[in-house]
Formats: sequence, C-alpha cells, structure tokens
Amino acid sequence: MPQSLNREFKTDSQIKGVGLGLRFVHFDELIANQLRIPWLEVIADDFLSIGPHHEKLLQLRANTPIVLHGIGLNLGGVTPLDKKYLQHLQDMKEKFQPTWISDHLCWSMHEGRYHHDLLPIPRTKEGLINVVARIQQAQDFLQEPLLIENITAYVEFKEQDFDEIEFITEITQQTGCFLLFDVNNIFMNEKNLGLSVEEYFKKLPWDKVRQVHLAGGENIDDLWVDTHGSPVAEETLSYYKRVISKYGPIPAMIERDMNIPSLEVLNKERLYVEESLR
Amino acid sequence: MKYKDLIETFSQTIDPSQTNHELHPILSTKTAKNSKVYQKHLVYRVIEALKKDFPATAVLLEERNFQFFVFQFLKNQPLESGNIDDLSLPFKSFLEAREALKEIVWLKDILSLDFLWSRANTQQQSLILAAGALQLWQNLIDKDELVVPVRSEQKEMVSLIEEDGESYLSKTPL
Repeated sequence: MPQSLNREFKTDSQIKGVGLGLRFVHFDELIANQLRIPWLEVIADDFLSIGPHHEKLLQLRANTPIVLHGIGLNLGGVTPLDKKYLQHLQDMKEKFQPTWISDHLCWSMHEGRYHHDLLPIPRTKEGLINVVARIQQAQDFLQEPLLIENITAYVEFKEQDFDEIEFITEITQQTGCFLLFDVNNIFMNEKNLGLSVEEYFKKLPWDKVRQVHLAGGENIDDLWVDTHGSPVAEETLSYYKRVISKYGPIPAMIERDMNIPSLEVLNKERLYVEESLR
Repeated sequence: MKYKDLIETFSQTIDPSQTNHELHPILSTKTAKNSKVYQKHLVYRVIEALKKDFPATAVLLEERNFQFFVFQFLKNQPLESGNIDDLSLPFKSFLEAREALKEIVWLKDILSLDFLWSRANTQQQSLILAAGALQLWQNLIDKDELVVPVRSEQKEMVSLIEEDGESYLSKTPL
C-alpha cells in the first residue's frame, strides 16, 4: 500500500462558506480585514519571486485562514517533478500554515519547455500510472494528501482509455488524494466538449471533494474560455447549490484573474453566493 | 502512441516558437482546432506579466506596439522557467537591442526604472539616470503630461527604498 494512503486529511473549521482568492491589488485591504473575508486561497506561484509580498502574507495570515493553490506541480508531465517547486510549497506550508494544498490534474511543462497553462492529460492506462506515481511522490514529499482539481480542457486526445470521471476515481483510490471540484470547468467542458455535467453529479467520488472553485468564463469565437474574467454565471452557481444540497457544506472560493473589480465589489458577489445558498 | 510521445507532440503543437502549428492527428477531429487557444493564452499571460513589470514602458510604446514586441520576443525566447517573472530580464535586453526602438529617447532609462520598481532585479537598488527621467517615468505611470524636461548632461541617482513592507523611489541629484 502506498505511503500516501495512510495519511489523515487535516480538517479546519475555519475553512467554511465562501472565500476569495488573494490578488495583489487587494493585498492592503485584505490585511486591514475590514470586510472580514472568512478565508483566502493563495496561489503558491505568486510567491516564487522574493519581495515584500511575503511579509505582507504573514501579516494577512495573522487574521485570515488560507489554503495554498499550486499551478506548477506538473502532475501529468513526464519529466521528473521539480524538487525546487516542491520545496517552495513545503517552505510556504511551514511559513504560512495553509489548511491544505491543491494543484491541478494537468501538465504544464515538458523537457524544460514551460507552457504556463493547464494542459489536458491524455487519459490512457500509461497516463494513469504516471500521474498516480507523481501525486504519490508529491504527497510523500509534503507529508500530506493533496487536493487535485479538474481543469477546463479545450481539446480531447483520440487515444483515451478512461473518461474523466473514471480517471479521477482511479486516482483518488490509488493515491488517497482529495478533490478540488471546479464547477465552472465542468460547465465549460460540457459546452465545448459535450461532456455531461449530470454524469459528474452521478458518478464523481463526492466523499473526496473538500473544496469547490467558482468562476466566470466567456464565449470567445464560439469557444467557452475559462477566463476568470466575469462574475460567476447563474448556471454555475446553480450547480454549486446542487452540490451543497446533495453533499453538504463544501467550502467554495470565487476565482477572479481578469477584469478584477474592487474588493468591495468582489465581496458583494461573495455575499450574494453565500446568500443564495440559504 | 506512448504517453510521453503524446505529451511531446502536443507540447510542440502549442509552442509559439515553433513555426509549424498543423493540427495533429493525436487530437479528436472535433476539438483539434481549439489547440490554438493554448498559444493565445500563453501570449496573453506573458503580456500581462510583462505589463505588470514594465508599466511605464507599456504606456511609452503604446498597447499594440507593446503586444507586438512581446509576440516577437516569444518567437525567439525559450520558456525555460516556471516563474513567469523570470522573463523580465530577457525582455528588457530584447527591447534594448531592437534597432527600431533606439530612436525612442529615454526608453532605456524607463525600462531600467520599471525593472528596478518591479524588483525583478533584486540585487540592484540604485540607478544613475538622466535628470528628469524619474519624473517622466512617474508621469507615464500616472498617464499624466509627458512633456518632461530630461537633461542627459545632468544625472540623478534613483534608489529603491523599502520600509515596513512598503516601497518608494527616491532621487538624489549628482
């Protein structure tokens, strides 16, 4: 049995309800904490460069619980896992004490070529063995189970042995990892690739889901793009409501990376989501 | 096809420095055309990252020109780091070496001030520039009046000062 399967998942009652993502334009306001955002998701890659933002995060952390979200683990890649990146996550874990750490079910780098994007994994038997081994390796390094997030994919590979739900289920069973379920990503995949959201509600291992992502996408040239550039669509929100009513109060956060509004506006959207769940 | 070969092929298909972007038969016919979105995303992300690190340069060159130069830069620049901030130094060198931009007076000073301010260069904390360059840089950031007297015969030292997690630029006439 792999070592990773024996690990307990940390629970933290502070991570509940609807949180926001830390974006640097809001840093000072978040430290001041007047809006009382209950929790924040911090992108680990924003802290790869040194600078005063590390000190600011310590100040913010004094009042606000955080979870850590990675973009660069490259779990579906084939070149060895980046030890420096893993050490970066470990250093952030020790310094800022996030409740959990997540990254994506994707790859982003190959043979030293960084794509700075979340690229879809060919879901073959060999691809499954590869990603399982790498998640286990990352979990063994960090000494805790990871949350793995489903992505928006714009292409599908011809050669595939599993659909996404089967692939995710196998991964959770073989690694003991948990899931960060991105509601908007399955909404995008339904629109672009014809996948069925209903199937996710029926078949996903929901007992493994510990966090939800909410975001808004846009239709650009007949393709639904996960831009994180607009408010959460009502349809996406309705899926989250279904998740909550069926599987309990799984915490969610709103991602916003383009057209970032003021913190006040973003918090109003957060409150609207919380309100609509009552 | 082996998993590694699928990854390798797709990686090449979406690499902006590769000239051949033919839709590859590894992708389903229905979705293959969508692979272009990954190139667009990369260019967009790099533009945003470089605009963050070179805010005054972006104003000086104007949006479309700035985007053009980022696109040209990406055609020749191998993306060898997972930290997108690491592109700042090679982008600065790329712009400094462009013949077409050498006519833009003070571009070099503005680039250097952007670079100092973004703290992409963590070693250097001071610069010696033409007197007035800092004011021009500030006006570009504020999108304010750009007619600022810059005097190359006089110099000023601009230093990045950090106190209590806050930063500011200070100038001393030389």
